[in-house]
Amino acid sequence: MSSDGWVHRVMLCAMAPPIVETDTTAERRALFVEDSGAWSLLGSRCSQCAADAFPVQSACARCGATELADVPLPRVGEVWTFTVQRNAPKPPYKGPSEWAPFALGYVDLGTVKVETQLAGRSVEEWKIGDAVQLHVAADPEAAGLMRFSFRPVEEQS
Amino acid sequence: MMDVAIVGVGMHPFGRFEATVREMAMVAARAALADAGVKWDDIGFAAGGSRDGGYAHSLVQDFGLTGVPFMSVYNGCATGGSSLLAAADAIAAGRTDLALAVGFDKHDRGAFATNPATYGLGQWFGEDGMMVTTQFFGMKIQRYLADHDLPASLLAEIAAKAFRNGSRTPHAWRRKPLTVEQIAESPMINDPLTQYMFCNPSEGAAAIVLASPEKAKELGVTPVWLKAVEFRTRRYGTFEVYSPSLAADITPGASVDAAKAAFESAGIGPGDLDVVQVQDTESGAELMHLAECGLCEDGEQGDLIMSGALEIEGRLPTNTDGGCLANGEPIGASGLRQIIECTLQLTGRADGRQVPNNPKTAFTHVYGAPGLSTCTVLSR
Repeated sequence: MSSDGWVHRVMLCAMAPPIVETDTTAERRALFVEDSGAWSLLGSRCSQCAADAFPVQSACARCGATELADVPLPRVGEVWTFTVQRNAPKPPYKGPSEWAPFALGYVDLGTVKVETQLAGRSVEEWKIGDAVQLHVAADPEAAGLMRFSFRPVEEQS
Repeated sequence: MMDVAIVGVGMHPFGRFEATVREMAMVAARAALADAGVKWDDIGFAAGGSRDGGYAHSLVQDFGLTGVPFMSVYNGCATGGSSLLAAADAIAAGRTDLALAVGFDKHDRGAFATNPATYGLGQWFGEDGMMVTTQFFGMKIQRYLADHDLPASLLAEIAAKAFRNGSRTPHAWRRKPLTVEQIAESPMINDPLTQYMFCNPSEGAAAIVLASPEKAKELGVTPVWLKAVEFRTRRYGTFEVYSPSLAADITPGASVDAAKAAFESAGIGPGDLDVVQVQDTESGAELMHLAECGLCEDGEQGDLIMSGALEIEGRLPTNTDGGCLANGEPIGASGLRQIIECTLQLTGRADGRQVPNNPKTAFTHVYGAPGLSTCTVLSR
């Protein structure tokens, strides 16, 4: 069997225009809200059906309503599912200068599940149901971009 | 129930080739016309789709310019289902008595780099490493296995079946069987899925000629009946690729709705099927889609797989030509390949991989991003 076709990729794809380098500082500012020195993820709550979503939306995916309120999301949740990214993603991925596999998953925050990198422990140790909390920080390896991850509750300072 | 007949099928094999994508499309289309015993001039409506091969309707130049209406469609991995639906509806509506559906593609080697903006997402989502389809498959099957107490070892069994069936299929790309161990021990891509559990981009083309019942009789061919073709997009609460957040309560995906509608429309149930093709973009997709399409209960897959029920000689032969895993996926053509494989099986023309005992009914399922599905029911 030739090796050329065994690229690590499957094909749920839309039309793919070229990737454009953009400054995501403003985009990222809109992902978070600070309250008494603690960061939360900022989501939308539908004024009609109360469905939550992240990040802030212009319309409700459940009912189509356009009147949405900004809502800080809970900082603590449980891992709903996860996987490990074993190969460096293609652009526009911006990772650390030295590639290392990272875990990611959906964290159940009660009213919504948020996709996030999972950090703070070995990628081999994650399991469904792990208690995690939000971590927001400027990434010194990516020009100080504000990034979020969820980390094990017991290891938070 | 639909009264549309499949009277001709044609393929360009799937894999990697020197031929241009348009040449492959024409090989498939001319083979389908010849199989039906009709000429291009007889076709009263055509529909086709391709992701990277250009506009389907521009093929008229190669067919000969007859003025025929030719609709180009695109719905991701479900594109083949959409071109089939357009062609079948044209016959059902009385627009024509002879229609062509064609799909073709030739993808670059290596990964597609996907711009988050294409999906209405911020660039940050890609910068943070989450614009990767294979992650979604890993996360969906990880949760499914846990919810239904299934072992991850089933995933290598499914891929081994695909390559076994591919080795018996002339149009397949991957024609060398791999052992369960080779698959399980290949490099991990997105846990719990390894390299050989994923399908790859490839090249190829597929075409189908459809006819009204009267026209099918006039042609004197043995038709396969397209009893139903149903297309659905997702509803709120489904778990889809490229989703920064998911709803509090997860609901079944578009495949559930499309399959249910197809069975109702056809008046044929999941228990009546002799041949099945489901979207197997990776091993976990086949496992989950079997239940989403109503072909088994959640959690029953372990018994189905380990008992051999999904083998060509089994009770519910599934992905008999090796599916996407062994054929790769030229997006525009992939859904039509499933229809062709079922047609060959139902007419006893599946050569080295023929399902025994004269199969009478078949089912196909495609799933595309983000969250759409087309299902068909076929019978002879």
